Amino acid sequence: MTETRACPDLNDALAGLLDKYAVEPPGPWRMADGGEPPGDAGNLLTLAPGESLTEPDPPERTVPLLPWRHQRRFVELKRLVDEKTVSPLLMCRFACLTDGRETPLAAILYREFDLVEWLSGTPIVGICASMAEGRAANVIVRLAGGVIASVEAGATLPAGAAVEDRHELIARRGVASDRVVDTQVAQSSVYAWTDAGHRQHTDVDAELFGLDAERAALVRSAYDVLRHPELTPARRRRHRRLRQLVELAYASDRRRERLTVEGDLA
Amino acid sequence: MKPLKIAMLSLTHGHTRKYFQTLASSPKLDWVAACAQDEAVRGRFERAVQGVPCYRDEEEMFDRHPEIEAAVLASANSEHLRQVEACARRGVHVLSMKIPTFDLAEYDRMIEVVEAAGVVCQIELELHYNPVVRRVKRLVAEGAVGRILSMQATNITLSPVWAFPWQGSPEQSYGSRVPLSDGDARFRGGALCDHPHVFDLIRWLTGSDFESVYADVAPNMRTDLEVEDLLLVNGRMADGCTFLLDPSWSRLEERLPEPGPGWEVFPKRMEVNLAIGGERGTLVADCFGPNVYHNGAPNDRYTVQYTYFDEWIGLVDEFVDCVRVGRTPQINLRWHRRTIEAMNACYRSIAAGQPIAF
Repeated sequence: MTETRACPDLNDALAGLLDKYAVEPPGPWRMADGGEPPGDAGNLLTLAPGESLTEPDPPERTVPLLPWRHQRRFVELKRLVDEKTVSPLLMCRFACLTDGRETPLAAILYREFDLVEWLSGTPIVGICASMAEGRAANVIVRLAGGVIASVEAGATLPAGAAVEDRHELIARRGVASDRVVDTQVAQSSVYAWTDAGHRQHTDVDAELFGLDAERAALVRSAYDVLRHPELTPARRRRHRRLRQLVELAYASDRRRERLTVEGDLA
Repeated sequence: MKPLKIAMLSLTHGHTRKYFQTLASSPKLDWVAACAQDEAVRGRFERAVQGVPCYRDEEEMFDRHPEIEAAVLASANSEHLRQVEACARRGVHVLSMKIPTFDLAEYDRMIEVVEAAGVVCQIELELHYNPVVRRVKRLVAEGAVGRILSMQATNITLSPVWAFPWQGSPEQSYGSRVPLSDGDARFRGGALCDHPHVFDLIRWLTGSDFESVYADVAPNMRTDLEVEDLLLVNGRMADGCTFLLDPSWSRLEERLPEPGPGWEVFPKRMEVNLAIGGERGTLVADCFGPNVYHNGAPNDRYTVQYTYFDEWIGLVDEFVDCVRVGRTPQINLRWHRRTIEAMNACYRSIAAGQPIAF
């Protein structure tokens, strides 16, 4: 089943970027973010977060987005690996907790499995998952070359709580992380204690000012799709692989076995 | 309560320096004697401690000090059975390091001799006396997160092998030379053997027992070690709680012969963090935080300076109380056996490449 929801603010933001940089999209498009099914979109190109597309093969004119790849923290972590600032990579420790509404357990696994493979530049070859009641998963994956990674996933935060996550890359030379040493949760750029109460802000994109890091990354990823439509088939193949990896994790839990990823799955 | 006359054996365990401080300062203890494994260890002891006689022969120490009531076994794991037997023969109570032995036949022999002699044997798992863990335990007991669905725990440190070489020796740490798996040149006895705490904590916090464990090892950070230094463990408790444990030596260290300032390469040399997801919420905890930070001597390198709690106060309180009142410690040999079984199952899982059911 495919679930999407039109998101006018993000559409406006994306249109602004296309206009500013004179990018000519390949056709009519819209961004979607859960909720309303796309139905018969005709010639309309639907840009939807991959983790919200539950089928391995979404409708033909739908492009799965991997927005986290456009978050600055992940871009920089990848750079640290690619430029061998930390090298060779030996172990990854990833965690993500949500309230389970916008990002349920399977969506967390989708994102984290993509990050494991993308940041390491190495495919997952084995998965052993242990899950509880569809709300928690503790997964160990093995990558080609012997690197191992943990994915701690939980949809156990109370409703409305912000996502809490952590990504740590351990190498023979150096450790890289998106969290400050000796802290447990994300820090913010701005803390304001006022008569109106306590507020925190983390603004990461001046061109898309006002969007939080996740929404800004969603717009950036959609912009990238429209700028490089030739990559759409590869994006759809990538989505299929990630869906299959998630299914394999569920199968591993059901069978209480470590399962091998056969070939490239997709 | 009369102070307990205590001795310390071998002086080669990673917590040895902590015991120097504890035995010297606790009003509940009267530190009578020590016995060093070798001359180098005795030299270090004599530089650190004054006024406590240090022997090289355990029998001589016990013969000369018949007043000794209890002993801290601050030794390699491979020495523990022999030392437990020696203590039991003399009716000396035992404060054991965190791994009595991985050999379950030896383990059962320890239970047998301790119970036959009627001495107390308390296992040193100091996190039971940590205030953060106590808070977590209370929150869980109060139902703050409801029934526990998932738990993650790290017990990650630098590697102590350069200061305590037995921890890099398969025979002295694990008790025998067992390859990790077919085709792997490494042996059992590394980081896993150093980190039983998280296996114990999940039993203590959930009140449940292991149903299955799966473990996998990464390539070593320290390529010159013949034991594992990076691994991950997941599995399930009998009550359905799923878990993930990281008992790695994933923080690099300077290879100092004696622990001290400048030991850290990674700013934080040790971490025990917990995350518990329940039906009604989530809690996360840093058992050794918050701390203070500096980038001063000796390496001008950003470093976490721990604001340690003193878990050893509670640990000694319980030990002395058990000896004087004749009570069984919370962490006794029988309780701890299941933790050792789970750790052994991790090694079996690494060899098999599959989860191991209990």
